[in-house]
Amino acid sequence: MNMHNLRIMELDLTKWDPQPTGALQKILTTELRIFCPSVEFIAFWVGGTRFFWTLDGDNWTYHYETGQNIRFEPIWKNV
Amino acid sequence: MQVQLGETHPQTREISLLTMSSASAGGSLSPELCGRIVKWARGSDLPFLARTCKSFQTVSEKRIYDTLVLGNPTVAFDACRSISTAERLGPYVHQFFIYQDQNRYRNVTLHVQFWQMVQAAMNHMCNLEKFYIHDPAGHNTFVLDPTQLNFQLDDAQIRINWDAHVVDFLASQLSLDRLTVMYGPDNFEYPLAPDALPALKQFIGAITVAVQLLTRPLTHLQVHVDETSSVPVLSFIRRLSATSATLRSLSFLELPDAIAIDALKLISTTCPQLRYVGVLSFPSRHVSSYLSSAGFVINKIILTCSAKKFIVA
Repeated sequence: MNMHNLRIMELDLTKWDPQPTGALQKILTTELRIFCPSVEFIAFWVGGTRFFWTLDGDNWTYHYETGQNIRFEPIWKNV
Repeated sequence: MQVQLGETHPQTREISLLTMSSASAGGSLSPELCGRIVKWARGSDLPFLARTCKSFQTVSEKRIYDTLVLGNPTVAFDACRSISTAERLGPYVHQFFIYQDQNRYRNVTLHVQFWQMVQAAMNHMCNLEKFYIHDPAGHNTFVLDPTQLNFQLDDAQIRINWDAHVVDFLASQLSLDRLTVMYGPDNFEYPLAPDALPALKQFIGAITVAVQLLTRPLTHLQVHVDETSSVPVLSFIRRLSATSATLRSLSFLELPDAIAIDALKLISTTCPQLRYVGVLSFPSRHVSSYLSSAGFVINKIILTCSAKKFIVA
């Protein structure tokens, strides 16, 4: 991929049917990293919920935020 | 400094003892000691402290007026009247948020006299660094007339109609670092001056304004995509090459699904140095072409979500 400095991607999966579960999201994060090895942090929006996948060593870990728990400060500002 | 209610500090007891000692001796408190007391006082106590003596008045008022968050129109009007009549107060204000709390005061009409008082108050805020201004009616833009204002902001968040007053105001802000425009125009009837906002690093707002800012040293850009806009999104992305040397983060709001693939392809060629890109719709039925579009050399990826299977081959 041309974007060798890309660290964070934020993608919207809301319209997927069925909506992707944690296992499917993990496959997506792995695939994305194959083609963009610099990516270390991927956020998936599924409706009003945002899933954060973070690369920890060789493994991806995730947490999610929904409703009022969604962080006020958008991640795009903190890059 | 934001006023925090209920703050305590280990030094509070020490300061209290010093206060009692000095008061019982009939002496006045030093400005330094008053400053330390005020620093750790509860926000609700500051107006009372300000009435006790001159030393407390000065330091208390500096903290009270440092950051004003005014969503109650009655309180806002009174605060602005105080600032406009007492010249010492205006320079204390560093952050100013003026709006109408829609949950509590939605039915209150903000007349032109209200905005005239806001303007009179802002006229005295020579040290203002950040403001948020929201006029629900949108048309009281005269409040931003730069001939009536005397500050250079770092951060401006404007929720008011885009017109000549706004354009002139922005042209007067030579050190503005961050700008948010919530009621962006959908045309170029009021264009920005070519040399306006020379220091701007972050912009949030309409694509019609963003496209005029691409020669600034932007590092962070969030664009609201409006399908009725006179600037097509893909055309805008091509023009991002003008700011690609500095741009680190590119965020789209409401980017149409149908152009997500083409948008990512263009972004990867015009802004290859980006560290963040989002929020892009990730179309489940077109993942192969989506990834390829970004310059990937991809083998066969078959996603069959409708069949509840996910196969990578």
